[in-house]
Amino acid sequence: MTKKKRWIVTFLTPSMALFIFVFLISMAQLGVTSFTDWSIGAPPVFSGLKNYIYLFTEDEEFQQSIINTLIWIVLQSTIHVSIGTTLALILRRKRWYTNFMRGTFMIPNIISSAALGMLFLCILNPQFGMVNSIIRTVTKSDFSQNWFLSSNTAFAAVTLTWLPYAGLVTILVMAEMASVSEDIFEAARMDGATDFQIDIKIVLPMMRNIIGTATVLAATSMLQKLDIIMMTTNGGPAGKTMNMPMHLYQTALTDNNYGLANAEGVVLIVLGLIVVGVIRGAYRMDK
Amino acid sequence: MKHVRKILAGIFLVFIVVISVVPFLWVLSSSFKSNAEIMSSVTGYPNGLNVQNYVKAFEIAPLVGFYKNSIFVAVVSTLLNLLALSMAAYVLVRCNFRFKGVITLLFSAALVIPGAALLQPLYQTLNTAHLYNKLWGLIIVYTALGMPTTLYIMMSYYKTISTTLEEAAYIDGAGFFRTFAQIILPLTKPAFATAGVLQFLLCWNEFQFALTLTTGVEKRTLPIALYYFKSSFASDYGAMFAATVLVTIPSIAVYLLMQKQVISGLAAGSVKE
Amino acid sequence: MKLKKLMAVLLTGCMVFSLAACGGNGNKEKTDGGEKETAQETSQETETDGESEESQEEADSGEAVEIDYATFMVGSHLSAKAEAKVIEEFNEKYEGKIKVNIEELPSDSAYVDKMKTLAASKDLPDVVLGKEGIRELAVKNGQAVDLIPLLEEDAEWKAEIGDGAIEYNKEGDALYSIANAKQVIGYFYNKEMFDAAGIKPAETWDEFMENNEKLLAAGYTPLAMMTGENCWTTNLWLAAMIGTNGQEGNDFMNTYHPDSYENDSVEKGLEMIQKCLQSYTTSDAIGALFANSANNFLQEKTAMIANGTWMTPDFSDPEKAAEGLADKVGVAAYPESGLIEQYEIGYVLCTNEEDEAVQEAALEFLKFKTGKRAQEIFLEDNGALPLTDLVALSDDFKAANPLIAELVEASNSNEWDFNNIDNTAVASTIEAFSSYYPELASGGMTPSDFAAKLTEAAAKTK
Repeated sequence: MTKKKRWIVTFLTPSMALFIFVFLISMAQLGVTSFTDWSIGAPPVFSGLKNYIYLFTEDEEFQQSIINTLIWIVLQSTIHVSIGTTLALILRRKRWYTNFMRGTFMIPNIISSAALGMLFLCILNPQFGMVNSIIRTVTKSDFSQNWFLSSNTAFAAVTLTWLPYAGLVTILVMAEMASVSEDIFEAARMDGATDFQIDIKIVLPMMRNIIGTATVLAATSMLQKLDIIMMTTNGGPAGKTMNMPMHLYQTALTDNNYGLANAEGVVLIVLGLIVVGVIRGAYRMDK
Repeated sequence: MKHVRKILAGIFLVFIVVISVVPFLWVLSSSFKSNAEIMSSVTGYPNGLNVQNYVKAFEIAPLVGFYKNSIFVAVVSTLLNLLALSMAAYVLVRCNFRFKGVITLLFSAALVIPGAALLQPLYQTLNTAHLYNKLWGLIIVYTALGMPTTLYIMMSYYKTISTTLEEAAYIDGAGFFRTFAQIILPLTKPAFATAGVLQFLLCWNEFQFALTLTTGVEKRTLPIALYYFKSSFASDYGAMFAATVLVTIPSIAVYLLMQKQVISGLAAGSVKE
Repeated sequence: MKLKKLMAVLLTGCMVFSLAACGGNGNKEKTDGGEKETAQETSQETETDGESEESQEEADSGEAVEIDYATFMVGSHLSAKAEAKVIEEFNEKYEGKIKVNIEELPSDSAYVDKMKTLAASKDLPDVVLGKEGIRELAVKNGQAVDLIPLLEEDAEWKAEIGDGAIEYNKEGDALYSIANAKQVIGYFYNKEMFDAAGIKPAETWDEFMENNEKLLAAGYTPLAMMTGENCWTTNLWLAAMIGTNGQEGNDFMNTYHPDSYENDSVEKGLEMIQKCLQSYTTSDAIGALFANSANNFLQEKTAMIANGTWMTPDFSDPEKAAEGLADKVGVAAYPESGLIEQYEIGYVLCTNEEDEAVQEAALEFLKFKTGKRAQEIFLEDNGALPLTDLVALSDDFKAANPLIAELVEASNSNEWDFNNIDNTAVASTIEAFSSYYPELASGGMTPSDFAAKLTEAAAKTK
């Protein structure tokens, strides 16, 4: 082994060890038991593709959850990432509000989701919630809308609990911008470029990789989103806001059906890897 | 045209400020309200500065011990995570070797493994390894949970650093490790700060694994404390929000501190071409 | 330079890590220093790695036997005080002989999630509360002990539990859990509002619906309901509507884990609930938490709420209730003279395959936890009704808790007794209630469709 190879191995070993200990062992168990009938308290019994067949032919709520998750992934990869990137671009320039803004935009990502869930429940409460009160005052009517649990607004209401909160995207892009030399902008300005042109033609292309990374993280966060849904709609009404992790959680810990839940987990991982692959391709991140 | 853009940017900023500050103000003002006040209106001011909730928060939940555990777990796990992943990301970006693609794919998988599906297998693994109900067990799990995020951030950042610096170092006779430690690491401060904040927040706010992987009160972390105020017939939301404020303030402080690092990185000058 | 600082920090981290790895199993992580030392000083006694070996060792050397127990009665839970007191008294009584390692699991859902994870690995604590399907899992994974022979050996304990509670929890000839309290649940109403509307507690369901109309006409919202969480205050009404619908309905509400909800009684009840959710409750009932619906009654925004006796202290709590509410609240049985009367699922002994010392110690704990003294404590501190007449409701207690006394009185003469849905339904069904109530209320679903969904969900729990 060459010296360099030894360094490569040394550098990869801690992460590999962690990965094997925490993820690989679990994934192996997940994969194997997804082909079994396994409920809490009983040993797993091999059942072939039964779980998968059930998921794709009979479990309508699960199919609905795949569709919802995919929609959320698309929204998150586009609108959410755009919001975060735009904010980072604006904060690139020093203005009187820059420091204040840098301090505030991340706060919602810091507060625990248990508190955020209560916040959204209270703000959108049909009876005393702020949103309905404002609409009532403005329209002078006795307007009442149950945002989270009417079938026509539930999906949008849940989406709005995370879509605008793009602090993560912003800090990622900002960190990378920190490394871009001011000289480049100076030169561009000399050539008569406006700030807007600099943003679009120079900064954004340079940020390709980190925006790709932010998109991967934002998209895959939709495959983990659980607590806010659990606190606000619990996947209801009638599965309208059900996503894959929520469905998996219920299958495992409400229905006690580990075999089926693990099959859902495998589907989720495969879907997630496809999403990651597509985004990496779109942003040419392997280059 | 320029004015339109300015106005749009202004509206956008105001929107961001409102949606960011309102939640915190709401939590803060709720922490001074009684349950009935929280459940009756959203805007109303609390009746005076009722600090009772903060007193209750300390009475009801073992906050102090949980604080210590949380600090220990979050700090150690963040350090380990940054150390391990900055190394892994470096070789994955800079070196060519077999299985590189496979390893990147594997680590990406960590990003999409659903937490709920990990609970049971992880419990079993830790129990077998005698790490159940140990802070070290939690630290290892958190270090791994934040793995893909840190890896992606670091990889993206290394890619922006020109290879000419390293080549020059090699010509000067610096070895692999010295090049990494002395040339590359100092340049990645903003990435370290960013990944560090995210990893810290993960450890600081994580609930489900903390609950599943520990059993004794003396081994538990802050997010669990927030649930001491929730029960089927007697949730004490006022005290819960008081505790939330106490839990949130340190993480805001850490965030601000790290942000400073990012900005000072900017002052340190360019590394990009 | 800064780099050096960073490296120093990282290296320290590394060293701490490797030290801990060496110090590894069993050894307390005393060596690795830093702030955590203080955090762990208190923890040494309660290390629980390799529980069974450890306790065996200690039993042999004549030290206290350690048993594990998990509880969600902590923090703001209503029973937190009573629970702490019972455990304290137990520890005093068995000092040096038995040591209870308590796992605190704040919030009911955290408790259930953790217990299920442990049950899957056959690692349930030695004594657990068997609610929400935990008992069934303990039986299924082989940890639960049949308690009938143990009760036969101890006549005193058996008498304290009473035949009613024993029969209630029996599965065939076996008994896997011992109740710790009895529940009598009717509903509370606001007398002032009832007077203003010119009504009294309804005796039939037709009258109940008419009363609701009258309350509306008088400017009051009749019912405090909720469909979030486990739909508690809504499903109590539904249970009453089904349970008083002749013998057939009553039998259904006394069936544990029914397979099908598609029968006339359920559908008739759902029809009434649909009407109530549409017209007789607050606009925030759909999706509301218990806290919302309780607050609506406590703040005099609704005239009635179905709930158990544990709610009575809230009526005079200035933090929770409108001033003077305590004097306005009355309690009543459901129309058709129905009351929810049931025993709690109670405690399961999960010591099969454990060594003998642990089995005995855990049994002692179970006896204490369900016995006369614990029942007394829970009655005094918590208003939880005792299992038998061996623990009497004192006159002082009755004077201090007139609503409870009145309800207990009523329970001696009412016509229909039945369970609540939270007790009879499996977790998947409860989930379905909360998921589909919004559709039922909006009219997007008929009662019979709804019942079909409940049946479908009932089959999901494994």
